[in-house]
Amino acid sequence: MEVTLGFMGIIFAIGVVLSHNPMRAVIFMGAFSITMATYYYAMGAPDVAMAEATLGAVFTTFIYVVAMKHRGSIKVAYIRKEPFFFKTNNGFAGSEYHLLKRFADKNAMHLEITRIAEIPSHKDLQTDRSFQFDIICGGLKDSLSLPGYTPLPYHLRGFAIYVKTDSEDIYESLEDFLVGDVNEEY
Amino acid sequence: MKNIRLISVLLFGIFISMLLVSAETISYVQPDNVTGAVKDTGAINVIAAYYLGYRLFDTLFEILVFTVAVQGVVYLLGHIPTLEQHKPMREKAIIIYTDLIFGASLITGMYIAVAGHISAGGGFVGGIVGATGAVLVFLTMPMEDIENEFNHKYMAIWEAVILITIFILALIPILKGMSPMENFLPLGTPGHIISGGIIPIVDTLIGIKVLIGAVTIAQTFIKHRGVF
Repeated sequence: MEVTLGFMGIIFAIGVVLSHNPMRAVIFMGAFSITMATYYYAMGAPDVAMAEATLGAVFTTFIYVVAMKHRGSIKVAYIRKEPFFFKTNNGFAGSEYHLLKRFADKNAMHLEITRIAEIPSHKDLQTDRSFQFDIICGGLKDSLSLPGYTPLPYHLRGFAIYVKTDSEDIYESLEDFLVGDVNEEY
Repeated sequence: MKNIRLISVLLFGIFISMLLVSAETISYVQPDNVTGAVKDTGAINVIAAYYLGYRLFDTLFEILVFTVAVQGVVYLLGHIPTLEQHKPMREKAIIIYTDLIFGASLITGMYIAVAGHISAGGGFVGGIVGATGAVLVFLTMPMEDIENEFNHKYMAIWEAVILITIFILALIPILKGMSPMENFLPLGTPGHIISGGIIPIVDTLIGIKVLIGAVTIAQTFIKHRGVF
């Protein structure tokens, strides 16, 4: 009994380390906790077994599952312009991309990136449904007028990221982010 | 708020200084065998006899560590903007099921905490068992209801009150001329629910405290990260 449980524990522990999908690793960890709880019980330590079962298998799993998920996504439209925002062989690069990426990571959000060919015209922005973005960027000057969007200047003088005026949540937190820690670093 | 901080700092200072003053009288006793432990503390669960009897000093700071962890979670997650839309599961079957489980798990948790000195368990495990039921209920409730029913402010106050109560319970023996953290209540008959002096009281308090802390952690996570 004890030997079987011990081996199961080892197998689950290896599963945690080797699984590429974080969610699978969490499930393996829950299984490991249950196995260990049974093991402790078999060894005559019901107190420890109870703590391991409730904390390890239920509470920690719940916290990990909630902590891992993305809260939502930010729709970003970019105009290809080096070195601000461009696509490379393995993903995106550029100063504005890294800025937004850090902002998204900090807020546990996911970037949904679309490429647009040129600066959208007033007519497109007002009528076309496919031009519904939270952020438009890619080396844009801060003097452009895009209806419905507000420029957010950042550390590079003369350039700005355009944020949709409706999405106040993103606007305020991005403003705090740009004013706060980023400017101090540069 | 400032006053609370001042009072807590003062209380903690008094606690530490009293400990330092009476450091020589703290007795690091150890029982010869299991029968000795039951005789000394009145608790037939020797684990409880150890962590709330002989080594209450360690347990006090363990509770403090838990409090700091809860505060850390609340502080660090507070920077992430709250979720606009919290999408709970609103299916009738799930709601009824989780409500039933919530009551059952609260009662089970409190039983485990209160009876920690006569059977396996204790405050820490009991609190977490109760909190597990609360977590299930969180999955089905809208955020406003959660915030109304499990109010952050009151929970923080109760947590602090319980922490201070446990520290005071550990200090009362000094007034009676014993060394601090000694069991100052009558031990009673081992095996009865009312026995073991302060052990069941401290166990219950720890249970409530851990319940509140764990619920706060779960609530903060759901508030700032959402469910699924």
